[in-house]
Amino acid sequence: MRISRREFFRDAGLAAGIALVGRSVLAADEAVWPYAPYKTADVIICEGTNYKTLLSRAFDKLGGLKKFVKSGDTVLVKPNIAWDRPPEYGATTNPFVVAAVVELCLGAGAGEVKVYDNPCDNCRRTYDSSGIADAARDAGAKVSYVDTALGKTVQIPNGVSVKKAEVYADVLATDVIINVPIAKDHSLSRLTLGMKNLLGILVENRGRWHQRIDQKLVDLAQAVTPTLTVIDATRIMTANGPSGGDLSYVKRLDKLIVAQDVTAAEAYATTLFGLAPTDLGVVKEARRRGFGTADLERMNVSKLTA
Amino acid sequence: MPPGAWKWLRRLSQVVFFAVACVLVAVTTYPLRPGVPYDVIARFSPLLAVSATAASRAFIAAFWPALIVVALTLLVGRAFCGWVCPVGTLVDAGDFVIAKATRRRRRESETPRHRRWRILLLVGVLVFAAFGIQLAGWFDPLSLFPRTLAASIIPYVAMALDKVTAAAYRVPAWEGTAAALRQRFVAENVALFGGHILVTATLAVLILLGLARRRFYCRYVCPTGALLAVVGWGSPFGRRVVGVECAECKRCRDACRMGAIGGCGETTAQAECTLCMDCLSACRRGAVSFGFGRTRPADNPTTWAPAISRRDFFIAAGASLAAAPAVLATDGRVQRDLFLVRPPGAGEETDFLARCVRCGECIKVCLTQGLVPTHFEAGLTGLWTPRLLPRKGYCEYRCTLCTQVCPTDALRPLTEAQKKKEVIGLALLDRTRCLPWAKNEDCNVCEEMCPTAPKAIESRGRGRLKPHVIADRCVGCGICEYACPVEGPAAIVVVGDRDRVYVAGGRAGGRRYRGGAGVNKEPNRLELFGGKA
Repeated sequence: MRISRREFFRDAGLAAGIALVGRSVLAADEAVWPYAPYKTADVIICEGTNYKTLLSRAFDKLGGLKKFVKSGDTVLVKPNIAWDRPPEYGATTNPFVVAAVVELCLGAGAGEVKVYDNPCDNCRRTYDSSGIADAARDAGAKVSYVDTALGKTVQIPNGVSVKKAEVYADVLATDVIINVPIAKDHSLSRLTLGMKNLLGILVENRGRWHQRIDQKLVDLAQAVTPTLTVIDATRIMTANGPSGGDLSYVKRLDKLIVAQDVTAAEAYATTLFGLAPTDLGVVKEARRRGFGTADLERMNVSKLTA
Repeated sequence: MPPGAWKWLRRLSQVVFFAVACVLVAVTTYPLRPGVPYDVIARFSPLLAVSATAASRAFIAAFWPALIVVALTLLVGRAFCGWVCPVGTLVDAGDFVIAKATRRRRRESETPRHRRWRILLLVGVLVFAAFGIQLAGWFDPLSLFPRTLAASIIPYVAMALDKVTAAAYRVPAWEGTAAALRQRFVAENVALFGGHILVTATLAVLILLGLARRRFYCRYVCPTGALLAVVGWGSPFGRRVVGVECAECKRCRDACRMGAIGGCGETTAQAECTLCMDCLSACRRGAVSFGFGRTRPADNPTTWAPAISRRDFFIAAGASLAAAPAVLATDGRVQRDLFLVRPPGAGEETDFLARCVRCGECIKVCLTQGLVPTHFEAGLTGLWTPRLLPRKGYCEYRCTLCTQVCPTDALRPLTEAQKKKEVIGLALLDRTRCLPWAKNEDCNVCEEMCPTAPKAIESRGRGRLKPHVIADRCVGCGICEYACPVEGPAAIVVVGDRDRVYVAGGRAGGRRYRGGAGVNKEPNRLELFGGKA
């Protein structure tokens, strides 16, 4: 097939035009996303067992917890309480880490600190087995079950894969969300870290969230962005995730990763498993959209020990 | 003590025992507290004791409380029926409401020959028990009561509570109360339950029988009452009428809810009297009294024995003897429903059926509410035994609650370590409906949920990961079926009977099960398990 010079210029011009218009449409979309993309991210790696001191100093490096938690604020500390396993199996967040975060929030002047998760196993057992209910309650938090009758639809107009989510209404009423996931292996998304942990605020059937899970996780994180993320890597589960079930899967690292940018925390945490950030679909997706900082070289990493 | 006081004392006793029984069933829930005898209600029944012991060919020491009832009955007659039995109290309450509603003066004639029905039932239950078929729990009040609460009343109440509190959320003033109630009682999805209709219908029939006679169930149906009638017939304690005072006004006879008073009020059927003391206050001349040493037998010509005629006995025993082997040969224990998943600790099916008294305690305590009473999935004689419906509620991997509350150890008590190894079924993957297999979509929720270490469901494949079940790791807990996001029936289902499943490339008990399984002897189900290994 031959085309004339004239046809060639016409088609080429058309294609270029479409590309330009398309680009600007995409750019317009990005402009209304409900977050400001981070240019660089401060990521603080804490090492040690004195969690409260470590976290206190880490928050100070981010400008002090008082910068995020205003006096009288309602704070949600969202750990992973998904599985009916004792804490040493690394399937749920370390209860001492949860307690430390709760105490620091109360110390920073929070009016109320709430702790809950919508688990996979039976909630009564997971709350007890994980040790989180007791530890958080002792630290002064209000521990409750997620009530699936109290859902509120959150519109995600810029969502790529989900346009709305049924979120526990209480989450939307809190002023500050501190995301405290545990770093562990996952059968579908390879690892489960910061953004996957946010699925616990949903009250709808989460089955459908497993198709194109990476896109959906970023969609949700954009709609309900945690104020701070503390990834618990005191123990990491290296295999048979997310439920684990054998101590041989668990590796003790005594590390905590603190960041304001959930993507950055998540991206850095992949290195604990000997992976690169882009090995994780959800980090790749966040990077593609410019949601947070996914590149290690653009992170401002500092280390603390205590 | 004035005569009327005894009646109130009896009512007080009834209310107390009824309340204790209700509370005991209601609190049979996570977390169980050590030392609380959650399963004690059924263990008070002498009939369940005899029947379970005979059917299972094992001495079940847990039934020692039944000896208390037997001793009490030997001493004072059927006080248990009138003062303690929660179903008796329920029937009394029903009769009271019926009397108020119908405004009928209840002057029923009593036909003693109809009392043979419950004895025929007793004979039948015992003969079947001798053949290893446990039927006592269907009729026994101390099984019926907890079962009805567990499988019918409490789920209804919970569902109502769920709906009402959810609605109350819309009223700002009630929000706090509603939230507190839901945190305490709801927390899980309680709106789904199964197997309840027949249990509820039985309760309704039981109460509505009061339209025909007061305490109809106790007079004509209850085989446990029949057993106690035999035991307590000769008890030294009973009703006495002082002849010179008696005006033969028949007030006591009409007042008797058991129809135990004959003649013009002067005779008593000792085997029927539940010592309710109604006649005491009905008598205006103080002619009635209760005490040790009964009236002279000569004054008691119609004290009918709790017996049946020789002819009836032989008919009942003969019919049961003929029926029991036939039932054994044809019933579900030979070919049970493939999808009948038993709770952990149930062990071998025949032994389980012989021991299970259908009290429903396991159904009550189940955290996920996946346990429901069967209809006929385990055969006719398996009615009201527990089964797991994984789509409704799975078996929590580390949970042993149901095995802790079984009165007869039909579910053997398991430690957490034993429970994790307890195999109750096998998950079969339906590749024609599974999202990764059939629609080439991501999913693998089943693998995510699988609690075993290492997981019994593994995703494999180049490109799209697809789930595979590894049979010898699967314990059949059903959390995969519960969580499967496919609409309607799950794309992964648990079968209870591993031996009847065949697996492409090897038996289910073999090293690998690749998902392309079919089901023996159930050709109509074959299409469910499409695909090839």
